[in-house]
Amino acid sequence: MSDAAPIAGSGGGAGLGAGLRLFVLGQTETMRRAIQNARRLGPVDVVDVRDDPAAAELARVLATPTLMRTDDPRVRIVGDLRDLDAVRGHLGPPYDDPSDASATGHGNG
Amino acid sequence: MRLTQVGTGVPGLDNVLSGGYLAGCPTLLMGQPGCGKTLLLLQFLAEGARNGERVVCATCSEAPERLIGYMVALGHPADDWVRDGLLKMVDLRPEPGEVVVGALDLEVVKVRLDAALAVGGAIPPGARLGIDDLNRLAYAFDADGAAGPQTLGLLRLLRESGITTVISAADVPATRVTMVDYAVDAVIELRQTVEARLMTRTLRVTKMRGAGHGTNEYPFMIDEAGPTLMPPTQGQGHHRSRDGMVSTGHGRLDELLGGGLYKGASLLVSGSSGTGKTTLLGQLAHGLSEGGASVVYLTLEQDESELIHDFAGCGIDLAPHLASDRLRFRRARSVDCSLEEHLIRITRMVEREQPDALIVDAITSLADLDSLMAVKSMVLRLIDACKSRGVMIVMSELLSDASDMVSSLGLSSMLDTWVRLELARESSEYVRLIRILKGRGARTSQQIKEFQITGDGIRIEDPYVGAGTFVFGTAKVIREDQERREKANMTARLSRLRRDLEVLPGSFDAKVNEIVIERDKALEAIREEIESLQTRISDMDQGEATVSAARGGH
Repeated sequence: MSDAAPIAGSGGGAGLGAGLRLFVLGQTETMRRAIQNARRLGPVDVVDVRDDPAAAELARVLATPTLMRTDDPRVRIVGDLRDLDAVRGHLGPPYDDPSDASATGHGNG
Repeated sequence: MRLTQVGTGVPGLDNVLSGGYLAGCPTLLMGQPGCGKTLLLLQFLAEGARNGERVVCATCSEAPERLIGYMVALGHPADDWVRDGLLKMVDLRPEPGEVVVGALDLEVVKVRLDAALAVGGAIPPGARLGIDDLNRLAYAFDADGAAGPQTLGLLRLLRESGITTVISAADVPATRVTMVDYAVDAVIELRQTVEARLMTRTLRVTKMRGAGHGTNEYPFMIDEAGPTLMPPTQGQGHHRSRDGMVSTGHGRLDELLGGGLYKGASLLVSGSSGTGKTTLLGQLAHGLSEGGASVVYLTLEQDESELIHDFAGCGIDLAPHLASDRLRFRRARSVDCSLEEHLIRITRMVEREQPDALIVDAITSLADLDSLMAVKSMVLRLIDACKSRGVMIVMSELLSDASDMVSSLGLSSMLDTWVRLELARESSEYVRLIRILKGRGARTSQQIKEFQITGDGIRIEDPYVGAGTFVFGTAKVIREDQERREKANMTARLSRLRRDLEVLPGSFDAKVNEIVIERDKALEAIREEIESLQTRISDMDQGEATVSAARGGH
């Protein structure tokens, strides 16, 4: 079973202290992949838009999965995040340092 | 009851679509930027909100506040609708700088739209969805339109959801290939062209599943009240509600027209320049207003002030009617806009002001805008628009001098009454004539009358009908004068003769007496002379004897 149980962290910003939020829709293969990839970057607030469309509306999510930084700079990355190095590059510091959570060694597909 | 079509909120478009947009289906509005797609979409939404339905406006390019602003500008209480939760905005504009890494899905858009459409957890059947500039979504993440296939997938979802949806999209190849062919049930193409330096917008329904629709290119216009179409009538005779006649306020004119004009009738006054068309229209404006009708005088030529002044010079005083607001002047210039826009503006004005009569001076002023056919069709539609609203329409038509008094508009079948004014040449002057060419449902005069413009209003006079010919004007006056003198002479002679008849026998009798007396005198004189001579002769005889006796005694 996957650990993608959605966390209803609706609405307001970095309430959980997570610097990343990932919008997903349902539990398709793409979503599962994105959740796995995102978790390698650090703590992630996963929001299933079906459960919280208002959050998607507020964040103007156009596609799933969408990963975004909740702090500045407000970077947004759409897709299943398969190229984690590219994702790190886009997110910028501190996520561009691969030393932390990338121990799983899942390269890119 | 299941509605199969819903109102478009655009006057005239429901007719073209035989009822409206398809309920529960997506309709695509396709066209170049600025052709009016967004306004049609906003009107569709406003129509729903006005009816208390949940409406959702999704935007892929313009800011939601701007679209709300447009709706307000169109006269809709969009701010109230937003506040009351009737109108929900869904902002589908892409975030700048969003990058794509890996596979993605646009279904979230559908989730957001559904959430906005839902009332108490379910989407009501009357809900309306509008998505403006949907084709932009394909370009949300890159310039190559990588999300195009996903957009198509989203459209399929929308179509399956059974929500009445109007989508606007630019007319680009991608739109034509994907949306038009596969993803929508109805397609309306909008176009704008510039003809005769005037911009014309047209609309054409190129696809509409399961519903009849007009196939022509329909002109439409956009003004402060939004887009409007004036589709030609389907020719239903639904406007035969001419109850009773109204007086023109001019006794002789009423007589000529067989009693007056029917309410809601159409009247055309044709004539070449200088025949007095405008004066006749002024007389009608005066007379109808006087009779209590509200009249709009639409002038396409002279200014209101000029007209009022000219009418006053002919003894037609419009001031009281203007003061009481029963008569209103409205002005338009042919070059202001295209023919179609004129038609829509006039129709809209009629709708707004609801007069009993509309006077158009002169309908032919619009002829320089377009071909004769187009003008004719426009006038037919204008007549129809007035008739269907029970508004009497009075128009003047300028006939060119070369036209030989033949109307080029060919409107006869649509007219209830057709008056022609002519200039006839009588010896060295022109005389105005009026004749009724046609008068439906009225016993109009068949005779040509003389039509005079005096300082005291118009005057309609019978022609001189002596000696087997019609004579008008000064010649008529001369002829009449001659006749009068002849008659006076004859009357005088007659009385003279009568007198003679009485006097003559007496005078002859006197003469006879005189002659008798003369005869008697003459006879007397002769007799006296004879007697005198006899006496003298016998005297002389006696004298001789005496002398002889005296001498002869010897």
